[in-house]
Amino acid sequence: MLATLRTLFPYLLRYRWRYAGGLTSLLFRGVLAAGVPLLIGRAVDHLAAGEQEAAVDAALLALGIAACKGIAQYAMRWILITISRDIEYDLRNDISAHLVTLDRTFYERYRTGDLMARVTNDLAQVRSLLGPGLMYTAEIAVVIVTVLSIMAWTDWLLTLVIFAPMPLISLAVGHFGRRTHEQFQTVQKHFSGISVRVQEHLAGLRMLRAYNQGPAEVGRFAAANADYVEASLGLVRIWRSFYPLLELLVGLTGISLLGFGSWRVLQGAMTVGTFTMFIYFLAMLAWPMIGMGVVVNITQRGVASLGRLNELLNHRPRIADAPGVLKSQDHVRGTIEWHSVSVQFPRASGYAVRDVSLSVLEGMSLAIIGPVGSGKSTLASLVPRLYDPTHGEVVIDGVDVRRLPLEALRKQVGYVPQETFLFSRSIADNIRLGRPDASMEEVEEAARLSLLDTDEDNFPDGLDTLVGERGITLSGGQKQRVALARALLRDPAVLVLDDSTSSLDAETEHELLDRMRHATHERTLLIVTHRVSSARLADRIAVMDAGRIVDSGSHRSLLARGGLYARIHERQRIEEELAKP
Amino acid sequence: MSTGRSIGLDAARETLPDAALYDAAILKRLWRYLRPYSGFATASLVLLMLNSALGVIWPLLTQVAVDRYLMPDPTADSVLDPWLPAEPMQGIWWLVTLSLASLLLGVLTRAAQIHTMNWTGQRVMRDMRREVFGHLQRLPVAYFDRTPSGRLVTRATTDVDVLNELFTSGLVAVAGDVLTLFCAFGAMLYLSPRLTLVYLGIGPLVWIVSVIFRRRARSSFRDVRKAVAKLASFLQECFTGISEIQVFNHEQRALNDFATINHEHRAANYRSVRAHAVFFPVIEWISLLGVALLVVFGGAWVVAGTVSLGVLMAFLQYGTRVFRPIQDLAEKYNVLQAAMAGAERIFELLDTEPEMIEATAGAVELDQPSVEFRNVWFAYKDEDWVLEDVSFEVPPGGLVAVVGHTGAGKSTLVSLLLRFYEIQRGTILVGGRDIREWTPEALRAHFSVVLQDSFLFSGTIGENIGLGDPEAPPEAIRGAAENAHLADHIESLPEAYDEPVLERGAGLSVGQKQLISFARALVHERPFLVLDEATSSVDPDTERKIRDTLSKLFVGRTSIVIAHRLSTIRRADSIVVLHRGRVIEHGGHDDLLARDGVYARLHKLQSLAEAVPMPQ
Repeated sequence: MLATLRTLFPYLLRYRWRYAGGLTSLLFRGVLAAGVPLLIGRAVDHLAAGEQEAAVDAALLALGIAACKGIAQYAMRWILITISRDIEYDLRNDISAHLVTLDRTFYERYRTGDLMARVTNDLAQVRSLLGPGLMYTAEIAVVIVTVLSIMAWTDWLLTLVIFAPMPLISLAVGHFGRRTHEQFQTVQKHFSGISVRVQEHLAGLRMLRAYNQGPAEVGRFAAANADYVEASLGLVRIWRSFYPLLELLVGLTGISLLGFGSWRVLQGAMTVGTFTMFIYFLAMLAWPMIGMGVVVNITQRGVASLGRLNELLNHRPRIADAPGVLKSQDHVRGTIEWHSVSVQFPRASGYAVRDVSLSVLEGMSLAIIGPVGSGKSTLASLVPRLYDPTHGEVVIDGVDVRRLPLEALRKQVGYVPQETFLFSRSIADNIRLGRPDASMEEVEEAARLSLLDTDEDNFPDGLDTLVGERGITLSGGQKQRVALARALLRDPAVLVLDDSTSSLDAETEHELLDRMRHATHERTLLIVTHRVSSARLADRIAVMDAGRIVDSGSHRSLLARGGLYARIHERQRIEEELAKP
Repeated sequence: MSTGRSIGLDAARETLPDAALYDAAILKRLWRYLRPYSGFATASLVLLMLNSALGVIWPLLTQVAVDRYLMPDPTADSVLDPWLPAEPMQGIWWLVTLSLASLLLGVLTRAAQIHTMNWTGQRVMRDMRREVFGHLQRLPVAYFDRTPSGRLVTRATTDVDVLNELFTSGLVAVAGDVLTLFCAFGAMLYLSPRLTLVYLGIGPLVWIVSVIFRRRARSSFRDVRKAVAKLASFLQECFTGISEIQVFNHEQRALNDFATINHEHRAANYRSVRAHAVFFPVIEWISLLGVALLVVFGGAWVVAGTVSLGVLMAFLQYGTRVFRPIQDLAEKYNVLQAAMAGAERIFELLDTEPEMIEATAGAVELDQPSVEFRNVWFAYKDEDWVLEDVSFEVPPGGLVAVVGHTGAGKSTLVSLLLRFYEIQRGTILVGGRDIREWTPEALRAHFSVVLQDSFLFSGTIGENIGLGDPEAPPEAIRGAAENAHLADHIESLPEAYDEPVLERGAGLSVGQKQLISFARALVHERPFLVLDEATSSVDPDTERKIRDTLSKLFVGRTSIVIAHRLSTIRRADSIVVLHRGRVIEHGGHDDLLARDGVYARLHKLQSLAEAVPMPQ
């Protein structure tokens, strides 16, 4: 548990002075709070003696002390809880900053929903641990120590008798806390069970309907539902014993005060005022005794959630600047070489790319074509270091890409994916992602180059049209053009088009690629595609299959050889013909 | 019972109406779920009342102890007087016994109350979840096309759970708090109406502070919710668009934007913290103000001898006790608000009308297994026709292959035949009768179906094969696996047919998944087969197994196959060529080849495709 909590130490340290302030307020509050029953007890004694004025003085003093206590309590709550909000804020920023450094393999493993749950729900649990958890723990400790010592100092025998059940209370809290924790895990498991049932039902909806699985599915759901209810009732069974038991034990302290305290009063060893004071102290202690259970709960959940956050934080970014990175590499000319490159993905049995060597000279264009899963996209994504090769190296202008500063590399390599993600902002803002300081004219120019301007009829506010839930939905082709504009805006030395024109019709695609080729004389162009019509525009074409380069050359020479390329070409020719109305 | 689960991101992302907390319509509707358990609910409420009443006994007993024995006051009398012994210590023991009895009774009623309340709550939740899930069964396929599945999962899980809090910690706790307040004031009135009046002097203050707090809490709660929703949607965009962010060196900017939203979230929470940090000390101070008033006025009366010391002491205790329920009530606000929002979302789903028109003739006997599409027109939306005037026939025991380019409308044919959607014009006849005469269930019971995506659910391999029939005998499942060339593989697994299928069938190859869906179809002796062949390529060995299993499937069944395999197409009695939603060619393989039209080209394409697997 301590190892898990280590993550929090720097944060706790950062706010140490405020923590000190908050805890001091907490201490003040505890001590001042104990003063109030003392004075009320005294007032009762005065009244018993018929001294009304003294009683009023005591009551007014108590009111004054209570006001001070109130201020201390405000300070305590405000300081301690806002620290927890501050740490939550820091942690959330830090975790996000960490997450953006992690590479694709991480994001393929953790689903978006899972990550969001961690950055929000789990963080909230940790926040509870740091805020209310810590505050209550300290509060309970202070109240118990102050009150018990005043009571013991006043009448140690009575105190001893009254608090005979105390150890039982901590035992009960420990025992039931553990059982609650265990049962809670079971409840969580069955909760997921329900969720999985619904999810799977929705995933297989057609199949299930086709096979008339309605009643059977309802039955299966009912079973999961019943399991969950059963588990929840298990938790209820624990609470059903736990809470009444706590009440019983706390109640017993009161009854022993009534019996034993009255005896002391009758003996003349104690005044009625002290008796009243004890009653007040017991009321003050009731919350800490019951609160222990709450604290145990908060702590356990907080630690479990922190563990889940640590899991994220322990992922080291695998694609990052290595220690031996070159200092400045601002100018990339764009000769790319792959030297015996192999790529194997985690948890995959085979290689996605096997021992590929390939090169393209600066200012030239290279197309990589091949069937689905042939590794063409993987090969291209090594250039902006979306992945690193398992073996071999990718070299730009004679330097291994891993020795270039990542930021400089990506500035010089424009990468356009097949499926781009558009943020729910304006189209112009989405394009400006490429270069945030670009002027509107430059954005417009990039949009024009990407043939996006022809579509502006569809965008009610031109480039200022919002994208996403509150705006419009773009077609696949429009998205791809925005993605292209984004990359062009950076004016990169190398442009990698990773199947990024696939949603355009062949004619538009051809025009676009032709423009890319002509508009960018000094730019190296890498086209990953499954269309011959795109590939043929490149100076050179490499044909990939099953992770290897099986052929390469110009369109003509590849066709003449009659291999895989020729077959793909023939197939697409017929497809195009079929697609004609 | 609070499971402490957060109300969920999905919930936060959706636009929340600012639901009125005590929306009468929603409460009335919730009441309907409670009604079957009204016996238990009433018991719970009675127990709660009993518990609240017992809770106020303790100060009364101290009053008796003080006035009768500790500081004897002849003016103070109590109902217990006739039974109490005169000797002080003996009397104290009597009182101790009495309070012990009331404590035990209180503890027992508490246990019983926790049990009945949660039992009721859990059953109500179970019923609601069942209703939500049952309702999903009745919604048309089209509904699921447009509703994100995550949202529906939330309805059946998190939303119902939040509601649970409304029942258990929300309404019941509120009722308990109110009852405690009433009982305490009852006891106070019984002891001394004068002192009660003095004490009630702080009432207006409490009321004003509570109202201010509630207003603050409500507005900060709303702000927090908004901030959480913003945070969630930003994070979602970030995680989904992480590649773009990284490739364009946008990390720092994204983080800055995030920090702004995070900051907003913190600021909203700060406001909520301040509301709480002010409210609690103030309300506690007011409670002490009440105590001081009691000491000042009550004290004067005690000294004057018109009020006994014991009564004053009892009041001093009540003075602090009544404040716990007041604080509690203020704190419950957020829970209730969230629960009402959850209920609203659940009811919204339950109010979605099932669209499917039911059968006109109920169960229909199937005389002979034939299928006919007669001038069928269909559009998913308006008049964007996906199928236009499609007609073809499959004779009993025949095999028709449907071929066409991607987007020609082939898969739609299958969906229509199984009545996932309703056609706009024309008729589909099964066994010579309009499919609308059947209930969808009765119709589908005649079909074995293999869809492109072989859906696997968590459970064992055996259960996955037996899908169509939970009581499918193990022999039938084993036989089907044998026929689908799966038996060897399954039996090599540690638990054979009981081997659990991992999430989404991880650990099984694409080919094996296909074979499992074939085995599914084989388990059933149904007269029709509808098969949408998967396009993904498999290794030659698996391909052989698939072909062999296919040929077994076609025997003795009337089959409609959306075919991608040349072997399947060649085997067909007739071939329907769909092009842009229309049947443009129809006939035997050789005829169509000879015609040298679309089919001939498709055929050539298919031959190439089998040599070079390409994306669609």
